[in-house]
Amino acid sequence: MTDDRLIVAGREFKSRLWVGTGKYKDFIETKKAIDAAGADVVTVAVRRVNITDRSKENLLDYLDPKKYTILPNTAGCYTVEEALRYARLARAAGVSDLIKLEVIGDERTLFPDTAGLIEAAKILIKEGFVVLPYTNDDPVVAQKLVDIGCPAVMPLAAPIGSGLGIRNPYNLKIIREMIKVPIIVDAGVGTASDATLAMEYGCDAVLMNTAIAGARDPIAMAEAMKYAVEAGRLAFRAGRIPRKLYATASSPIEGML
Amino acid sequence: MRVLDPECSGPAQREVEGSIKIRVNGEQRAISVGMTVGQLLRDLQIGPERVAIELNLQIIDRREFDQRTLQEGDRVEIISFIGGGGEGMGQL
Repeated sequence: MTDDRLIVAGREFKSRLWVGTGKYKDFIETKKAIDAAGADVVTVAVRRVNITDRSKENLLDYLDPKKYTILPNTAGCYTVEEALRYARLARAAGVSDLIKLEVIGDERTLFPDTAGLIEAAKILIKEGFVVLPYTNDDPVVAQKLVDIGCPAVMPLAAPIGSGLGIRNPYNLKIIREMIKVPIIVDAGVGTASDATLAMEYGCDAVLMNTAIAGARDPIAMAEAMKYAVEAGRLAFRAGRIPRKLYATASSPIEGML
Repeated sequence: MRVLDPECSGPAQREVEGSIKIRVNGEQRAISVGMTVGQLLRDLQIGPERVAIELNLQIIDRREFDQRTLQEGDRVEIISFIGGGGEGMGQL
Protein backbone atom coordinates (compact mmCIF):
# COMPACT_ATOMS: atom_id res chain seq x y z
CA MET A 1 0.00 0.00 0.00
CA THR A 2 1.29 3.37 -0.93
CA ASP A 3 1.13 6.91 0.39
CA ASP A 4 0.52 6.36 4.06
CA ARG A 5 2.26 9.37 5.48
CA LEU A 6 1.79 10.68 8.96
CA ILE A 7 1.09 14.39 8.87
CA VAL A 8 0.78 16.38 12.08
CA ALA A 9 0.20 20.13 11.91
CA GLY A 10 1.39 20.18 8.30
CA ARG A 11 4.64 18.40 9.14
CA GLU A 12 5.28 15.06 7.52
CA PHE A 13 6.88 12.20 9.43
CA LYS A 14 8.23 8.98 8.03
CA SER A 15 7.85 6.90 11.17
CA ARG A 16 4.77 6.25 13.25
CA LEU A 17 6.91 5.26 16.19
CA TRP A 18 7.97 8.24 18.28
CA VAL A 19 10.40 7.75 21.12
CA GLY A 20 11.48 9.39 24.34
CA THR A 21 15.15 9.84 25.16
CA GLY A 22 15.15 9.28 28.92
CA LYS A 23 16.47 6.39 31.01
CA TYR A 24 19.19 5.22 28.64
CA LYS A 25 22.64 4.21 29.83
CA ASP A 26 24.30 6.94 27.77
CA PHE A 27 23.79 9.03 24.64
CA ILE A 28 25.32 6.38 22.40
CA GLU A 29 22.71 3.87 23.50
CA THR A 30 20.01 6.53 23.11
CA LYS A 31 21.06 7.19 19.53
CA LYS A 32 21.31 3.49 18.66
CA ALA A 33 17.84 2.82 20.05
CA ILE A 34 16.33 5.75 18.14
CA ASP A 35 17.89 4.53 14.92
CA ALA A 36 16.83 0.92 15.52
CA ALA A 37 13.30 2.21 16.12
CA GLY A 38 13.50 4.20 12.90
CA ALA A 39 11.99 7.13 14.78
CA ASP A 40 12.21 10.65 13.43
CA VAL A 41 10.43 12.31 16.34
CA VAL A 42 12.18 12.26 19.70
CA THR A 43 11.00 13.83 22.93
CA VAL A 44 13.31 15.70 25.25
CA ALA A 45 12.89 17.31 28.65
CA VAL A 46 13.66 20.92 29.52
CA ARG A 47 16.11 21.17 32.41
CA ARG A 48 18.88 23.26 33.94
CA VAL A 49 22.26 23.04 32.25
CA ASN A 50 24.87 21.48 34.52
CA ILE A 51 27.11 24.49 35.13
CA THR A 52 29.52 22.84 37.54
CA ASP A 53 30.46 19.91 35.33
CA ARG A 54 30.87 21.16 31.80
CA SER A 55 32.39 17.89 30.67
CA LYS A 56 28.86 16.54 30.47
CA GLU A 57 27.85 16.19 26.87
CA ASN A 58 24.74 17.63 25.34
CA LEU A 59 22.05 15.29 24.07
CA LEU A 60 21.59 17.44 20.98
CA ASP A 61 25.21 16.79 20.03
CA TYR A 62 24.01 13.26 19.33
CA LEU A 63 20.66 14.13 17.78
CA ASP A 64 20.97 16.43 14.82
CA PRO A 65 17.84 18.64 14.87
CA LYS A 66 17.97 18.64 11.08
CA LYS A 67 17.56 14.89 10.99
CA TYR A 68 15.16 14.40 13.91
CA THR A 69 12.18 16.42 15.00
CA ILE A 70 12.98 17.39 18.56
CA LEU A 71 9.80 17.47 20.59
CA PRO A 72 10.33 19.13 23.97
CA ASN A 73 7.95 18.15 26.74
CA THR A 74 6.80 19.75 29.96
CA ALA A 75 7.32 16.55 31.94
CA GLY A 76 7.29 17.01 35.67
CA CYS A 77 5.05 20.09 35.58
CA TYR A 78 2.16 19.98 38.03
CA THR A 79 0.60 23.39 37.46
CA VAL A 80 -0.51 25.40 34.46
CA GLU A 81 2.05 28.12 35.31
CA GLU A 82 4.91 25.64 35.48
CA ALA A 83 3.92 24.03 32.18
CA LEU A 84 3.74 27.44 30.50
CA ARG A 85 7.17 28.37 31.85
CA TYR A 86 8.78 25.17 30.58
CA ALA A 87 7.06 25.43 27.20
CA ARG A 88 8.24 29.00 26.72
CA LEU A 89 11.79 28.07 27.74
CA ALA A 90 11.72 25.15 25.31
CA ARG A 91 10.78 27.47 22.48
CA ALA A 92 13.40 30.01 23.53
CA ALA A 93 16.03 27.27 23.42
CA GLY A 94 15.40 27.48 19.74
CA VAL A 95 14.25 24.16 18.40
CA SER A 96 10.69 24.85 17.24
CA ASP A 97 7.16 25.83 18.23
CA LEU A 98 6.29 22.20 18.92
CA ILE A 99 5.55 21.28 22.50
CA LYS A 100 4.37 18.05 24.04
CA LEU A 101 2.26 19.54 26.77
CA GLU A 102 2.02 17.69 30.06
CA VAL A 103 0.27 18.98 33.13
CA ILE A 104 0.51 16.22 35.68
CA GLY A 105 -2.23 15.85 38.26
CA ASP A 106 -1.02 13.09 40.54
CA GLU A 107 2.42 11.89 41.60
CA ARG A 108 1.71 8.19 41.91
CA THR A 109 -0.06 7.67 38.63
CA LEU A 110 1.33 10.67 36.72
CA PHE A 111 -2.14 10.95 35.26
CA PRO A 112 -2.74 14.25 33.51
CA ASP A 113 -4.66 17.09 35.10
CA THR A 114 -6.94 17.48 32.12
CA ALA A 115 -8.56 20.73 33.32
CA GLY A 116 -5.10 22.28 33.69
CA LEU A 117 -4.06 20.75 30.36
CA ILE A 118 -6.89 22.43 28.47
CA GLU A 119 -6.22 25.76 30.18
CA ALA A 120 -2.48 25.64 29.42
CA ALA A 121 -3.10 24.47 25.85
CA LYS A 122 -5.41 27.43 25.16
CA ILE A 123 -2.78 29.92 26.30
CA LEU A 124 0.07 28.29 24.39
CA ILE A 125 -1.94 27.98 21.19
CA LYS A 126 -2.71 31.70 21.44
CA GLU A 127 1.05 32.27 21.73
CA GLY A 128 1.64 30.37 18.51
CA PHE A 129 2.73 27.02 19.89
CA VAL A 130 1.88 23.75 18.17
CA VAL A 131 0.51 21.91 21.18
CA LEU A 132 0.53 18.12 21.31
CA PRO A 133 -1.26 17.34 24.56
CA TYR A 134 -0.53 14.31 26.75
CA THR A 135 -4.03 13.45 27.87
CA ASN A 136 -6.13 10.80 29.49
CA ASP A 137 -8.00 8.19 27.45
CA ASP A 138 -11.09 10.34 27.79
CA PRO A 139 -12.92 10.97 24.50
CA VAL A 140 -14.63 14.15 25.75
CA VAL A 141 -11.36 15.72 26.84
CA ALA A 142 -9.76 14.67 23.53
CA GLN A 143 -12.57 16.40 21.65
CA LYS A 144 -12.16 19.57 23.74
CA LEU A 145 -8.43 19.63 23.01
CA VAL A 146 -9.16 19.39 19.30
CA ASP A 147 -11.81 22.11 19.56
CA ILE A 148 -9.35 24.58 21.10
CA GLY A 149 -6.84 23.94 18.32
CA CYS A 150 -4.57 21.02 19.17
CA PRO A 151 -3.48 19.45 15.85
CA ALA A 152 -3.21 15.99 17.44
CA VAL A 153 -3.98 14.34 20.76
CA MET A 154 -1.79 12.01 22.78
CA PRO A 155 -3.93 9.79 24.98
CA LEU A 156 -2.20 7.44 27.38
CA ALA A 157 -2.47 3.67 27.09
CA ALA A 158 -1.67 3.27 30.80
CA PRO A 159 0.32 5.20 33.43
CA ILE A 160 3.71 6.45 32.28
CA GLY A 161 6.40 3.80 32.65
CA SER A 162 3.89 1.18 33.89
CA GLY A 163 4.14 -1.15 30.90
CA LEU A 164 0.52 -2.18 31.49
CA GLY A 165 -0.47 -1.86 27.85
CA ILE A 166 -3.78 -0.46 26.65
CA ARG A 167 -6.05 -0.41 29.69
CA ASN A 168 -9.08 0.94 27.93
CA PRO A 169 -9.18 -0.15 24.31
CA TYR A 170 -12.83 0.86 23.93
CA ASN A 171 -12.09 4.45 24.89
CA LEU A 172 -9.28 4.57 22.37
CA LYS A 173 -11.65 3.26 19.72
CA ILE A 174 -14.24 5.88 20.68
CA ILE A 175 -11.59 8.63 20.50
CA ARG A 176 -10.67 7.32 17.05
CA GLU A 177 -14.29 7.53 15.92
CA MET A 178 -14.90 10.93 17.47
CA ILE A 179 -11.92 12.94 16.36
CA LYS A 180 -10.37 13.45 12.98
CA VAL A 181 -6.90 14.68 13.93
CA PRO A 182 -3.99 12.27 14.46
CA ILE A 183 -3.99 10.22 17.65
CA ILE A 184 -0.60 9.41 19.09
CA VAL A 185 -0.86 6.87 21.88
CA ASP A 186 1.54 8.00 24.56
CA ALA A 187 2.73 6.13 27.63
CA GLY A 188 2.06 2.76 29.17
CA VAL A 189 3.14 0.46 26.35
CA GLY A 190 4.92 -2.61 27.71
CA THR A 191 5.79 -4.74 24.73
CA ALA A 192 5.45 -4.98 20.97
CA SER A 193 1.91 -6.36 20.91
CA ASP A 194 0.65 -3.31 22.85
CA ALA A 195 1.99 -1.04 20.13
CA THR A 196 0.47 -3.23 17.42
CA LEU A 197 -2.93 -3.11 19.10
CA ALA A 198 -2.84 0.67 19.32
CA MET A 199 -2.16 0.85 15.61
CA GLU A 200 -4.83 -1.77 14.82
CA TYR A 201 -7.38 0.41 16.60
CA GLY A 202 -6.60 3.07 14.03
CA CYS A 203 -4.34 5.28 16.09
CA ASP A 204 -1.84 7.16 13.96
CA ALA A 205 1.35 6.73 15.96
CA VAL A 206 2.74 5.50 19.25
CA LEU A 207 5.15 7.32 21.54
CA MET A 208 7.13 5.34 24.07
CA ASN A 209 10.22 5.58 26.21
CA THR A 210 10.40 3.11 29.10
CA ALA A 211 9.23 0.11 27.06
CA ILE A 212 12.39 0.47 24.98
CA ALA A 213 14.88 2.02 27.39
CA GLY A 214 13.90 -0.32 30.22
CA ALA A 215 14.04 -3.54 28.18
CA ARG A 216 16.88 -5.95 28.85
CA ASP A 217 18.13 -5.21 25.34
CA PRO A 218 16.87 -1.73 24.43
CA ILE A 219 18.22 -1.79 20.87
CA ALA A 220 16.50 -5.09 20.06
CA MET A 221 13.27 -3.86 21.66
CA ALA A 222 13.45 -0.67 19.62
CA GLU A 223 13.60 -2.76 16.47
CA ALA A 224 10.73 -4.96 17.69
CA MET A 225 8.65 -1.84 18.27
CA LYS A 226 9.38 -0.61 14.78
CA TYR A 227 7.96 -3.80 13.25
CA ALA A 228 5.08 -3.84 15.75
CA VAL A 229 3.96 -0.36 14.76
CA GLU A 230 4.37 -1.10 11.07
CA ALA A 231 2.46 -4.39 11.36
CA GLY A 232 -0.36 -2.80 13.32
CA ARG A 233 -0.68 0.03 10.83
CA LEU A 234 -0.71 -2.36 7.85
CA ALA A 235 -3.29 -4.59 9.53
CA PHE A 236 -5.50 -1.58 10.25
CA ARG A 237 -5.33 -0.45 6.65
CA ALA A 238 -5.82 -3.98 5.32
CA GLY A 239 -9.00 -4.37 7.37
CA ARG A 240 -9.40 -7.28 9.74
CA ILE A 241 -12.09 -9.94 9.29
CA PRO A 242 -15.15 -9.81 11.54
CA ARG A 243 -15.17 -12.01 14.62
CA LYS A 244 -17.59 -14.94 14.39
CA LEU A 245 -18.64 -17.43 17.01
CA TYR A 246 -18.42 -20.50 14.73
CA ALA A 247 -15.95 -21.84 12.26
CA THR A 248 -15.95 -21.19 8.54
CA ALA A 249 -13.98 -23.80 6.61
CA SER A 250 -11.16 -22.35 4.60
CA SER A 251 -10.72 -25.46 2.46
CA PRO A 252 -13.43 -26.20 -0.13
CA ILE A 253 -15.85 -29.09 0.47
CA GLU A 254 -16.09 -29.95 -3.26
CA GLY A 255 -13.93 -32.82 -4.43
CA MET A 256 -13.95 -34.63 -1.14
CA LEU A 257 -14.18 -38.44 -1.26
CA MET B 1 37.22 38.96 32.98
CA ARG B 2 37.89 36.90 36.06
CA VAL B 3 35.88 33.95 37.20
CA LEU B 4 35.66 33.20 40.85
CA ASP B 5 35.67 29.66 42.04
CA PRO B 6 32.05 28.81 42.89
CA GLU B 7 33.39 26.65 45.73
CA CYS B 8 34.63 29.64 47.66
CA SER B 9 31.32 31.42 48.08
CA GLY B 10 30.79 33.06 51.43
CA PRO B 11 32.27 36.05 53.24
CA ALA B 12 35.61 35.90 51.42
CA GLN B 13 33.92 36.46 48.09
CA ARG B 14 32.13 39.57 49.18
CA GLU B 15 35.44 41.27 49.75
CA VAL B 16 36.52 40.92 46.15
CA GLU B 17 36.42 44.36 44.69
CA GLY B 18 34.12 45.03 41.78
CA SER B 19 32.14 41.85 42.11
CA ILE B 20 28.46 41.26 42.59
CA LYS B 21 26.53 38.21 43.60
CA ILE B 22 23.92 36.52 41.47
CA ARG B 23 22.30 33.09 41.45
CA VAL B 24 22.89 30.87 38.44
CA ASN B 25 20.77 27.73 38.24
CA GLY B 26 20.12 28.00 41.94
CA GLU B 27 23.76 28.39 42.95
CA GLN B 28 25.28 31.57 44.26
CA ARG B 29 28.03 32.98 42.11
CA ALA B 30 30.20 36.11 42.20
CA ILE B 31 30.71 37.88 38.90
CA SER B 32 32.42 41.08 37.81
CA VAL B 33 30.44 44.27 37.75
CA GLY B 34 29.07 44.94 34.29
CA MET B 35 29.10 41.33 33.14
CA THR B 36 26.50 40.56 30.48
CA VAL B 37 24.48 37.40 30.02
CA GLY B 38 26.61 36.60 26.97
CA GLN B 39 29.85 36.95 28.96
CA LEU B 40 28.47 34.75 31.72
CA LEU B 41 27.76 32.01 29.18
CA ARG B 42 31.26 32.29 27.74
CA ASP B 43 32.76 32.12 31.22
CA LEU B 44 30.76 28.98 31.90
CA GLN B 45 31.79 27.59 28.50
CA ILE B 46 28.20 27.22 27.44
CA GLY B 47 27.39 27.79 23.78
CA PRO B 48 24.52 30.24 23.35
CA GLU B 49 22.80 28.06 20.77
CA ARG B 50 20.27 25.56 22.15
CA VAL B 51 20.04 27.16 25.56
CA ALA B 52 17.34 29.41 26.90
CA ILE B 53 18.05 32.07 29.48
CA GLU B 54 15.61 33.22 32.07
CA LEU B 55 16.57 36.32 34.02
CA ASN B 56 14.39 36.94 37.07
CA LEU B 57 11.68 34.76 35.51
CA GLN B 58 11.79 36.63 32.19
CA ILE B 59 13.05 34.88 29.08
CA ILE B 60 15.84 36.79 27.38
CA ASP B 61 15.98 36.87 23.59
CA ARG B 62 19.29 35.35 22.50
CA ARG B 63 20.00 38.45 20.39
CA GLU B 64 20.09 40.42 23.64
CA PHE B 65 22.52 38.15 25.50
CA ASP B 66 25.40 40.56 24.94
CA GLN B 67 23.42 43.64 25.88
CA ARG B 68 21.83 42.47 29.10
CA THR B 69 24.01 43.44 32.05
CA LEU B 70 23.61 41.42 35.21
CA GLN B 71 22.75 43.13 38.49
CA GLU B 72 23.32 42.24 42.13
CA GLY B 73 20.81 39.61 43.25
CA ASP B 74 19.78 38.58 39.73
CA ARG B 75 18.49 35.06 39.33
CA VAL B 76 19.63 33.44 36.11
CA GLU B 77 18.39 30.12 34.80
CA ILE B 78 20.29 28.45 31.98
CA ILE B 79 18.12 25.81 30.39
CA SER B 80 18.68 23.15 27.79
CA PHE B 81 17.32 19.82 26.69
CA ILE B 82 18.07 16.50 28.35
CA GLY B 83 16.89 12.99 27.69
CA GLY B 84 13.26 12.64 28.65
CA GLY B 85 10.10 10.76 27.93
CA GLY B 86 7.33 11.33 30.36
CA GLU B 87 8.92 11.11 33.76
CA GLY B 88 9.97 14.29 35.50
CA MET B 89 13.23 15.03 37.24
CA GLY B 90 15.64 17.91 37.99
CA GLN B 91 13.13 20.69 38.36
CA LEU B 92 13.90 24.39 38.06
